[in-house]
Amino acid sequence: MDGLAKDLMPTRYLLSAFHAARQCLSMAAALILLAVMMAMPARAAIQINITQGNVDPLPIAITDFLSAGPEAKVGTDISTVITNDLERSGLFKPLNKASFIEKLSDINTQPRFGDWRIINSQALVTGQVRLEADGRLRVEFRLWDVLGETQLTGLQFFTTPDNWRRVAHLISDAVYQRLTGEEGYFDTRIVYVSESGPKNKRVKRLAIMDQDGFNPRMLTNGRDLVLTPRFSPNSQEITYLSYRNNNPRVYVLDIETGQQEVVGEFPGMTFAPRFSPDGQKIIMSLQRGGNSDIYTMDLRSRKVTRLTDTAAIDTSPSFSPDGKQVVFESDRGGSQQIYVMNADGSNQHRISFGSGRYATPVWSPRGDLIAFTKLISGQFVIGVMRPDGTGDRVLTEGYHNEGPTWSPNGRVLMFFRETRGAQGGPSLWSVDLTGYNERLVTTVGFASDPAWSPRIQ
Amino acid sequence: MRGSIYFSLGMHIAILLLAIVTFPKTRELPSLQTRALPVELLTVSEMTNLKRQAKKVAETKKPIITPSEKPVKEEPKPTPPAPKPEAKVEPVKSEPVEEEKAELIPDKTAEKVPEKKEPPKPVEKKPAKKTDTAKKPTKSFDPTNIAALLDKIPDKPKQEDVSETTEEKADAAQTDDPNNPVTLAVSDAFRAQMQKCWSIPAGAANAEELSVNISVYLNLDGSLARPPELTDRARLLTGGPYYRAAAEGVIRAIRRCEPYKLPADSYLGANGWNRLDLNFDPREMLGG
Repeated sequence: MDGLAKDLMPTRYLLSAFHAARQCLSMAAALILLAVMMAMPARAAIQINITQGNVDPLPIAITDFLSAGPEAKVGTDISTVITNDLERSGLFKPLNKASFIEKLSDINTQPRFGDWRIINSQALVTGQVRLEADGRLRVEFRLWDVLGETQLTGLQFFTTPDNWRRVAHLISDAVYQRLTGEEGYFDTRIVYVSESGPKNKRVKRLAIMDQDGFNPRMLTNGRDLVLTPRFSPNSQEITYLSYRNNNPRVYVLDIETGQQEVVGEFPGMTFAPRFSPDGQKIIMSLQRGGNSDIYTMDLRSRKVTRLTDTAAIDTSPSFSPDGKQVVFESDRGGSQQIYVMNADGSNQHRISFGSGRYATPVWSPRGDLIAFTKLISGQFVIGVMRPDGTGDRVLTEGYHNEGPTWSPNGRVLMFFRETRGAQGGPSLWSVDLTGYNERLVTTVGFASDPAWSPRIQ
Repeated sequence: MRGSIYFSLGMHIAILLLAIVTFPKTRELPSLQTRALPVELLTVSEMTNLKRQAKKVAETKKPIITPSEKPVKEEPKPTPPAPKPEAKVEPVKSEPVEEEKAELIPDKTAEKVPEKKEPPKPVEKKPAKKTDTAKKPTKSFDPTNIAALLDKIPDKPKQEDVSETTEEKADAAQTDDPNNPVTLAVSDAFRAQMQKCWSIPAGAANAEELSVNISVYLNLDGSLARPPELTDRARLLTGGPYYRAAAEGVIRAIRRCEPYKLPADSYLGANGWNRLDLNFDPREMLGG
């Protein structure tokens, strides 16, 4: 046995040396291969930067909602309201229904996407209306991506039959949100000052309507002069100024209940009351002596806090959406300009430096922009700038434009435009952030000082 | 003996690692030439559109919109008298919509109706009825300069140096391998087609930050070989609704534009267009 072991010894050494050498070689080979692989460039695809596109509206097909029986007309009406909502936004181009090839008979089956691609539709809205056994209306819809051949969203709503218009706005909001990533603003209202009578003796009443001009209603009787209605950012309450016997009072009105209360009667003149983002405070300017300063008032404790204290006219305050800052106008520098300060009144600094006189700044609900009115070369301009004062640009201009108010998603501004002459008067207009989608808002009679509501909850 | 073998092996590994780490650094040097190359390429390939781009930039020095070109604002006609006012403040109740019962309808793709291959019916093109009284601007749209379109401030004339702007434009093509005229020709042809299909997310919050990176795989006939692939798919979930909408808009644009007309002879190979890595960046158009 020992002899055999001795005979095998040299072979064992040889094998182990060979094994070690092989290991070293394979390790070296692996390292060389790794080095070569890393040094070699990967097979690269062509990289292309696309920096130019267009701003064309999205072609969308909105079919008449399928319906039968007494609610047959409602299906078409809902489709029309959605079409008008989306078209007015400027972001969508609803296609002519006469061009539709496929006639849908069931919204629960996939459409023939090829038929919709032929007419250049990129999105498709289908829906149906049914009257439930309990008398409620059931409205359901589906939004399809025609090119991707997928359903993007589908919802159903239950409501009373006479509330179909609101459901249509809710569907418009859902479509808008899914395709733009931004909340819609169609299920909202506008409060404004309705004006009637001759130019030198106008009767001014508070009025309210849907954002598309439908369902107009008067809120006050016109005995007292009303001014500057402003919505609470998170409820259906408005604050406004009313003059009785030349005494200005700040009111808060709940438009759902009709409850109205006087917030305060202040010595001297009061201007431009506006809610804080949490709805707990009102910010306004009070005139005492020759100048006006900015104050806040806590709606619960009625405690009044002074924010500015200068010999100049500080007015038109508006909170940032986070409530941490306030933008306002002031002539402390010699001309009317826009200033920003912290919510406690500290760090007051000027942000507008363009030519002309800046006024009525309003902070966007999105927080990224401040809208303003500017008087330059005899023209009234509505424009926007970033909160640091950069990016100052004009959206619209004319003889007399004033009172910008933001849509709740911060993408559209409504304002009023006054026309010249004895027969002239104010009317409401809207313009989006591109400045190119400018529309007249239909109202009953003359209208000024619009205030856009948050989305109805 | 064994120790010296290990020492020798360790030294070899160290040298190899040093070589791996230091070699790629030498590859960065040629990038210095890129700024000048597009100028040379103007004479090299007639298929590029760089010359046209440069001219367009030069044209933007003129104000695109003058106040006189503004759309004619229609005077609002006196509307019928308002209804008699209410004696007191009346509540405006919004009727409830039971949104809590709103359900997502399941996508019944299983019930797919087989698409019939019918010949397309002729589509009668009727001019869309305008419902609004406001006249839309009839100016021709210059997509190369949205920022100038948006900025209608008359008192701030742009003081851009045309030569500088043109140079910046040319720099936009830096990622397109300017060493290769074939690549540049493909890029330009692709860009020209995509420009008509891609709608930028104008008006969205921080729209200039909504750039989308995506890979596209193409067949030789220019059709999509497979669905476009977002480079960062996770951003669909983390990037918020604005990014999601922007990414979906890009995918729609890619699908809408197919089939692409690109030079067939450069389909395959090291710089073939069978795969394209695209970066959709709206910053330049939005003036960001």
